[in-house]
Amino acid sequence: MTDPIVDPEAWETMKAITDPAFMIELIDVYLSDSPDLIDQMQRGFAASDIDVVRRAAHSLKSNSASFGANRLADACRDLEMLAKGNTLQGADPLIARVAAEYEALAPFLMEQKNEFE
Amino acid sequence: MNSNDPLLRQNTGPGHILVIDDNKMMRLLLARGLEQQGHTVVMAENGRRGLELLRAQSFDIVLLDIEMPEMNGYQVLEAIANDLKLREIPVIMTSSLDEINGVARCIEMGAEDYLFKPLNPILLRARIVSSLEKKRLRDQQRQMIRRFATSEVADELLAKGFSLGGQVIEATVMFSDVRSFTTLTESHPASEIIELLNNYYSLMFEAINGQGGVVNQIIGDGIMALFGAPTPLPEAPKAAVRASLEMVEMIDLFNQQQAVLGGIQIKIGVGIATGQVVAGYTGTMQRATYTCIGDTVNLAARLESYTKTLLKPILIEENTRQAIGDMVEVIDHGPAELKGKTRTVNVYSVPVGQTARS
Repeated sequence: MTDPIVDPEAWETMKAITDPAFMIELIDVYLSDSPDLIDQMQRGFAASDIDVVRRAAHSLKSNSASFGANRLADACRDLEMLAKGNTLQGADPLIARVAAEYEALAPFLMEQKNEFE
Repeated sequence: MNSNDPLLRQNTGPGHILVIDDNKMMRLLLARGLEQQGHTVVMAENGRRGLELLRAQSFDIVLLDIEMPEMNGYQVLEAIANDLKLREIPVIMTSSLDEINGVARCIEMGAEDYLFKPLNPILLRARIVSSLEKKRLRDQQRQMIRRFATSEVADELLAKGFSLGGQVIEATVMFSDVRSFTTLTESHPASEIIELLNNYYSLMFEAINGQGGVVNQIIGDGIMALFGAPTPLPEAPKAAVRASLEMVEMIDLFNQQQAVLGGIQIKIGVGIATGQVVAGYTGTMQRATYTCIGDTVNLAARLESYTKTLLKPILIEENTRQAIGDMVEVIDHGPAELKGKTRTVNVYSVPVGQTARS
């Protein structure tokens, strides 16, 4: 994986069209929503609820792409596509990848947030 | 049209936009982008809530997510398409690039445009500006239809939509004009003339719409009305003659009132002809008018002019006379040579002051 955690170009665009207070608000929403979404993926997988997994992956994909967090967005997309094919076979490693990417991203966002404050 | 027109006032300035997205971050981002462009934004967290808001408030544009719990984007679109009051609101789909097939389906279902996530602020701006503009043109057109048509016709047109292109249909055409209006304008102040015109139009519109007719054009003090177009009207010639009798009666009452007030009194002339007309919407999809042309239209206009020669307020031709049967007793004035007509036309006048039999 050679891509950066966050695409610098997308990140700069985001900063340019918003202001620090709004960036902080966005990061807060993201950091509070994302663990829930990952939790939904895991629980949906455990309960074999394809729709729950698909929807959570879809949301986290959109949110992550907004920041330019493309590695995480890609992982979510793979999971969403799998679920769209009406199966959760092979979802387990994808969910683990999503969680891992998020673990890598969260400290970066926290750091950025501190800089804005 | 004056600047107090609520519709025209709405035409300038920012829009009121509804964002329907289950995703809080997306709602925040969209609202932020739109507010920066000067619009006011209301947010809904799912389709069901969005639809509630749509029915409670008046929005210029809806930004709609596809993937949502409770009621998804497709279901919202379907509900909007089935609701006469909502179907004119432009809907812009917001989706990820992966959902391109879904977006295509939404466009087929009536969505106007789409925006891909992550949002590009420049595209967001362009799409909103373009949709607002289109919406405003359509609103103007709707307003024009409402002004020029009965509510039944307007509803039908708005429900079925427009299709440019013509067809030959059977209709009754009426022209009405104020006699000696030109001399009037020379001897009275402009404000009095305009007030008079407005009163005159109100009375004429009421008589015409009351009988199922549609005012198609107003030119100066002249009115062109259609009976049986754009939508069919049973016994259109009878309706037109009844309307003309009412118009003359209303003008009489109006004159009595004016006599008391010391205002201007007017006389009108009405020409009615029945036959085939070429009818259709002409213009562009953004701005179209319903147009009727053909011999029948010309004949009605000539008959209206001819009222000056015969000094009778209402003139009709053979087709109309036959179609009205014995509804009213008409006076036969024999064949007349009308301007622009190569053959003579049998002209009949409808006496006023007698009650029409239905």
